[in-house]
Amino acid sequence: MNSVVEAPLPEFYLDDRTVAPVADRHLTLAPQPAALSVSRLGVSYAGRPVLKDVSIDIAAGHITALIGPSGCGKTTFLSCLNRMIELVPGSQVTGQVRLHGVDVYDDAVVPLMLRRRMGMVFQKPNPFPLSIRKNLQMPLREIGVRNRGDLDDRVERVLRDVGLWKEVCDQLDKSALALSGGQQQRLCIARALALEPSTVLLDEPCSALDPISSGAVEDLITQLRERYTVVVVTHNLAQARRIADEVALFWVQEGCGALIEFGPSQKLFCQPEHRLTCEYICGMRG
Amino acid sequence: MTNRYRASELLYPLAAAMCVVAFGLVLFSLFKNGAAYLSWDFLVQEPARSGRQGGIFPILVSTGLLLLVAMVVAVPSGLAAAILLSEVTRKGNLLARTLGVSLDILAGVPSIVYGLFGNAFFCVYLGMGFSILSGGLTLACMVLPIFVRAAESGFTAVQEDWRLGAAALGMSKFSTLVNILLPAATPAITVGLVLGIGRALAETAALIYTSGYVDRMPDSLLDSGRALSVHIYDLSMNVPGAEHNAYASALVLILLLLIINGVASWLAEHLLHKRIKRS
Repeated sequence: MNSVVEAPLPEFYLDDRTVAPVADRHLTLAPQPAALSVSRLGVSYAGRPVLKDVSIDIAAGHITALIGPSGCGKTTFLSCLNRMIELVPGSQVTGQVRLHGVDVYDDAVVPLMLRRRMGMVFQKPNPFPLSIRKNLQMPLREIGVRNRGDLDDRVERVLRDVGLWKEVCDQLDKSALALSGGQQQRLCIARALALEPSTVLLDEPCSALDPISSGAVEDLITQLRERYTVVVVTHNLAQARRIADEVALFWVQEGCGALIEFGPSQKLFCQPEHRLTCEYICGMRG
Repeated sequence: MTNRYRASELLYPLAAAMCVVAFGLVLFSLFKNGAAYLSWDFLVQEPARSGRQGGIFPILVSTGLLLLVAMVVAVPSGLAAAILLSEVTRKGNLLARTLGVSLDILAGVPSIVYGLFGNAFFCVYLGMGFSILSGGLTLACMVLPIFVRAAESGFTAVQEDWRLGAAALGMSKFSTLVNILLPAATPAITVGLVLGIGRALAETAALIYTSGYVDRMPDSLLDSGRALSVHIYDLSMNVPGAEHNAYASALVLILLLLIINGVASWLAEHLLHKRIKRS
C-alpha cells in the first residue's frame, strides 16, 4: 500500500492566514498580508544601474532581514522603501513599492509624510546634539503634538519600549551625545518609534556597536516583531538567522545588485535553493 | 634629522610667542600713552578744539550707529546667503560657484575702493549724502563676504548624519534648519560676526567718503557722523597737539573690540548654543 497516497491532505488555516496562488501554480502559505509589496524595483545612480528587478512581498509584523556582501544594493533597496533615495542626487527609481496597497512613488504621496509612517535607523547612531528629551520631542512637535503632558507621556513610553527608561529617566535633560554607542542607537530607534510608524527600517543597526550593545539592540529588534513591520539590513548572518522571519539575499551580478533568493529564514538557511545562497551561508563566498 | 627636529621644536613656540608679543606691545604702548587721559569724562564729553580737549561721546554714538546699521543689514542677508550656499544649492552649481567667487573677490577688495563705491552709490546715486546710513551700508558690503564665508563653513561642517536623521523623521527642511543646523553652526556664525565687527570697527578709509567726519552728535541716521577710527586718524594726522587723545581713543577702540567679542561669544553660548548639548 502506498502511504503517500493515503496521507491526509494538508489543512490550510484561514484564521489570520491567506492562501495565495503564485505564478508557478503551486500553493504557498502567505502567513500575513504583505505590508510592503515591492515589484520590479530598479535603481540607477547617474544612469548607472545599481539595483535591478527586485520583487519582494514583506509580511506585516515580521522581521525581514536583507543580507549579502557589501555593495550589493541592500541599503539602496532599504532607502527606496521610504524614498530616502531621492535625497541622493542623480538617483532614479523604477518599478513599484506599495505600502499597504498604496504606491509610495505616487505623485500624491508626500515623502515627509511617508517617512513619518516608516521609521528609519542608520548604521552610525545619529542622535541630534540636543538633550535626550529634545531628541524625542522634536519630531513629535513637528507632527503637531504640543501639549507638554502628551509629549512627556510619549517620551516615557518609547523610552520604556526600547528599555532605556531605567537608564536615563533621571537625566533626560543631559546631552544625548553623552550616552554610550548602544544607548545612542536605542535612542535613535526610540526616536523613530515616537512617531508611531507602521514600519521600521534598520540599516545595519548593530555594526557600529560593541558586542554587548549589539546584543541589547538585537533583543530590542526582536521585541518589535508583530507590533511593527521590521526590515533590517545586516552583515551578520548569525544575527539574521536569530532574529529574522524572512531573509532576502542580495548579490552583485554583472556590476549591479540583484535579489538572489527570498524566503522564510528556516528554509533559506537550511535548504537554500540557489547555489550562491548555499555558498554564502556556508562562508565559501562573500 | 635630530638637529632639524630640535630646531623646529624651538621655532614653533617662538613663532607662537611672536603673536602674543606683538599684541602685547600694541596694548602696552596704547596703555602707556593713552591710559592717563582715559577717564569717565573723556567718554561722556563732546570733543573741544578739534579734539585736542574734551571727550569722544558723539564719536562713540556715531560708531555704535554705524555698527548697528552694518550688522542689521549684513547679518540677516549674510545668513540667508550662507544657507543658500550650503543648504539649497548643490556643490558645483553655477549659482553657488558664481556667488562663492564674487564673495572671495569682494573679501579682498581694498577698503578705499569700498569707500569710493559707497560714495558713488549710496551717497550720490541713492541720494543719502554723507550719512551714517551710507557709511553703515558700505560697512555692510565689506563685512558681508567675511561673514558669509564663516557662516557657510559652519553649516557645511554640520554632520550629514543629522540631516539624514532629520529627513528620515519626516522633519521639514525649515524645521531642520531652525532646530538643528542653526544651533549647531552657531559657534562658526559667532566667529564670523566677531570678525565682521572687527573689520567694521577698524574701518577708516571706507567711512571718510561715506559717513563723513564731522565730530558733532548725529541727529539721525541721515546725519553725518565720525567713526572712532576716523577720529584717531584725524587726531594723529591733522590735529597737532592731539596725540594724547588719539592714544586714548585707540585704547577705547581696542577695549570696545574686546568687550564686543566677549559679549558676542557669551550671547551665542547662552541664546542659541545652549539649545545644543555637546557631550
